[in-house]
Amino acid sequence: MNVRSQRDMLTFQEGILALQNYWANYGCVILQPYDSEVGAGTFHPATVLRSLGPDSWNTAYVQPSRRPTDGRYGENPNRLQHYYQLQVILKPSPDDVVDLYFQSLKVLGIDPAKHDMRLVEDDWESPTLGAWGLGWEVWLDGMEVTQFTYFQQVGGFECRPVPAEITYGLERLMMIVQGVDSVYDLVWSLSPAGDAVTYGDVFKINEQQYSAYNFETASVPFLLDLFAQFEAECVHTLAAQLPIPAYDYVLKCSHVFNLLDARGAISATERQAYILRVRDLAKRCCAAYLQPADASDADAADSADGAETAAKQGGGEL
Amino acid sequence: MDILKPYTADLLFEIGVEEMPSTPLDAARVQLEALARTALEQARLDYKDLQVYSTPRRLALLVSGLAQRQKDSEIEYKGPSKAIAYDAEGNATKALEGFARGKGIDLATIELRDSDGTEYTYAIKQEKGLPARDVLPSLLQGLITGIDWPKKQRWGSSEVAFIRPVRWILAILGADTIPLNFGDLESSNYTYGHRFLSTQRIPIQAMREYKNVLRGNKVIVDHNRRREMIVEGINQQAAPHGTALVPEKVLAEVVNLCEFPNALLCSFDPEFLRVPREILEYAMNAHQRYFAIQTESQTEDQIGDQPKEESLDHHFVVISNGDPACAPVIAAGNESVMRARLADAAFFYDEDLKVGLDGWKKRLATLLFQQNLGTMADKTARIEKLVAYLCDTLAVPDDLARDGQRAAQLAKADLSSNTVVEFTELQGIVGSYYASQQGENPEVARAIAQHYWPRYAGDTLPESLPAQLVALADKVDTITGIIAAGFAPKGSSDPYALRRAAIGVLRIVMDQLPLDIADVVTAAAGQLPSELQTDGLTQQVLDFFASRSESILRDCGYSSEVVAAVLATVATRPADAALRCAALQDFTSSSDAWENLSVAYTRAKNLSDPEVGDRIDTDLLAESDQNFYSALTEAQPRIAAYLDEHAYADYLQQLADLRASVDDFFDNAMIMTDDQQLRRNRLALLNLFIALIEPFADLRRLSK
Repeated sequence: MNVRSQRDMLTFQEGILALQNYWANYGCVILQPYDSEVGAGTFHPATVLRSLGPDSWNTAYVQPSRRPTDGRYGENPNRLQHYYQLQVILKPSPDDVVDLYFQSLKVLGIDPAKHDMRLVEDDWESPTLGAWGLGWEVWLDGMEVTQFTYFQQVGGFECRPVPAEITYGLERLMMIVQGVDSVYDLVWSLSPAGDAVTYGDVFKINEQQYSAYNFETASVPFLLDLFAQFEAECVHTLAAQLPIPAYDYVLKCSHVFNLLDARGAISATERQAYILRVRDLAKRCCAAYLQPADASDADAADSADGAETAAKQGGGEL
Repeated sequence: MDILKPYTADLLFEIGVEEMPSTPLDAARVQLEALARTALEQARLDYKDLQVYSTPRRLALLVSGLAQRQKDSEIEYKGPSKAIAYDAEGNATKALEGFARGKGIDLATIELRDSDGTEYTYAIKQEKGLPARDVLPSLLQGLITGIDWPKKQRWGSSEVAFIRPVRWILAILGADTIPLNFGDLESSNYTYGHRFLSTQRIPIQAMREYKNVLRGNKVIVDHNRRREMIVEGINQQAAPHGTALVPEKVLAEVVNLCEFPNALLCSFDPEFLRVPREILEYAMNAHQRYFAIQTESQTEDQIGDQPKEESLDHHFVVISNGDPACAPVIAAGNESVMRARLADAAFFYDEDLKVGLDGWKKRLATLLFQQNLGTMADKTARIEKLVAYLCDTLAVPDDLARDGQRAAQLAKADLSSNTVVEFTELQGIVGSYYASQQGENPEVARAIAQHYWPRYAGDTLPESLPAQLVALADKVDTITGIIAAGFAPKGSSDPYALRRAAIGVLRIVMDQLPLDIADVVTAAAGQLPSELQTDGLTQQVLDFFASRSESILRDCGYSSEVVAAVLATVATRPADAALRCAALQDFTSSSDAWENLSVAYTRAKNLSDPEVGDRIDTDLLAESDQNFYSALTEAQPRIAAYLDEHAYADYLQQLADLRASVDDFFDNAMIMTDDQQLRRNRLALLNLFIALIEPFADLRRLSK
């Protein structure tokens, strides 16, 4: 594909670099993706664990995110089982955090004053992380492009100070920037000679194969076994007072659960039980991360809102 | 000098928030007004007028003509009685000294006043009104914290909480800033305009310029005005193409999603119009808050059962909060979002049609209805049987019974389809389209759509007999089954919306299908899984229905006494109960004969002895007995006939005509006489009298 004429338009990778630069200039630590499968950038320990405790923390990173049930065999122009989020955590949330976000869109060539930008109510809750927060979906001319959340609790612990989380949906934003209707038509990179590599070139076959794997091929007994083993390893590691490596196994459990879910291997009744098992591990990791002395807080916070949140957790991705 | 200052000034108070969610905003505005009125009254600050406005970014309180100073007040505190306050010499006791000290009052100013015949001491405290500017900081702060939001959040390092972060507070009285804090935030005389179309902070010199200054900065702060602008804009954009469809719920939300509304006309590929319009409308309303346009249609190419005069146009209206100069870009963006949504919807619809409604029906076996009650296939089987029972009971003509049966088989089939999984609210409607598509008769298609009716209070009842049968069977099965499974509504918890379902059943039975609910519930209970069929189940379900009947009849305007009297006899036949309530209420309010009669009935009922029976020994009848007996026996056949024919007004008139005989009997006959034979005979007469009334209502509930 040769698209010399589009030279003035940002490629997918240039968009990512531009946003990373913006947040680097703001003072964020630019991290690389976490090297474990996660359902969303939120699960990165740089968000979950670093949201806890009193220390300031500003970071930005791209996180490949896996949602096995969202696979469409590469046939739906808007849905992927693997996609990219750009995640920003600003703790404590600065007073001008919303303005900082809207400013950041300008580096992509989106001037918010020339579009219809909306903040539409979106209360966020992660059943498996024992976490909730309030915020918005950000709409750009009717398209949801970002999620914006003020974390109130993580792992059952109150967040003091409160972090603001900004999660850019990179594919959607760049589809608007490039004016394409299918994610697979996004120009990922452009050589000096004008040769384009598209998102489809990079990922279409992956989507086809992973959809087949997630829905048809993944071995259920193997995954059930893995879940139990990861869970046991997490408990074992927690016993050694090593919450950060223990948390890796929370992520593993969560991903295995999502795969089992995509395989239709988890009934409605079992579902809640699995979620509670992962949530329990996540809370214990958070408690250990915050020092054993604080562990009693989690139970108190949990009993206050646990019953209410548990009731709402029927659906939802881990 | 104080004296040169005007007596009143205008107050402007604005809470600036990052962006408040639409749903709780209207309630918050109402609360803020009530809180402000109460607080000003308690602070003894008079004012001329008070307005509260809201946008997603601000709650604004405008008070004109606010008194610059609180009214003075005199507060009196009641102290100990005179006897306790003073000793024999008239000196103050320790009790009085303590009281005066506690109130900070000089002993010499204590007054004695009479209170219920005893003299008490009173401390009278004069409170001089303070300047409004001294009172307002804490008063206004109390308004911020006083709003009760469904959910609040903290932000940054601050410990205060609000629906979303508060970013500025404007508080001015006249031209002066009222100093106050909320967390780390201090009040000022600055506000902000539109987030993108006005970037500077704006000083406000006086409340009266506030609305205009904001308008100049692309903010319409008056929510009512925004609503008018939105409605006008929608209608104007829609006019060349048809009539805009503006659901109140969507409109209310859109009003709270923008500060500077302008309506944009957008369109989608007319090719999508082949998708049922309900699906298109749902995608526009629920997901995107767009407004659909309806147009007079010349064609008859509807897939649905009945040809519609109106069809959807491929234009729609978007309310933008952006710069009107950028309308083309904004419209194009929204169109591309709509395109993606409609492509999804059309994809689901096409895939669904390939499977067909019978195909979807087969998949109900894997869709759980409720743990104890099995799958949707099990539920469908129960609905079918119940419909068959109803057809028998009501002697439904064969062709309609066949349609009812077929509709029952297919009623739930669409629940497993892609479209209903994606757009749950369209259950039934989608099924009816798929039914027509696979060649079901229109009556069946209609019954599939309407068996969910009535869906909410005041909704239409199912129109055709087959729809009524399936609607009734589905709802009674759900109510009976869910109660059997242990999820009867308790307090505010009604997870399966059984109360709404019960009201639906009762309305159908009252207006459409003259059934005894007891029979239907018994039939429904009999086909539940056997472990759920407990002894008390039917009665428990009927009691639940009775409580709903009571509230329906009360809502019709019948008094609680009338409703209670009638439900005591016909609780499970709501249509009959409604007729009886109507007649009884009418009669009791227009006939004074009635009160005596119900008193007489109560007396008779209290004295009565059912063991005595109603055999009368005519030889024993004294004159007063004889008169009563003749009146009763003469009236009896007509009364029975009227009851039988549900001619309740005539029935009640007949009873009222007995009044004189009844009164006469009670006045002249000694019922509880020592003569056992006479007493038995008179009690039997009472039983005859009771038997005329008892089948109609328990009149004891009327005479209190």
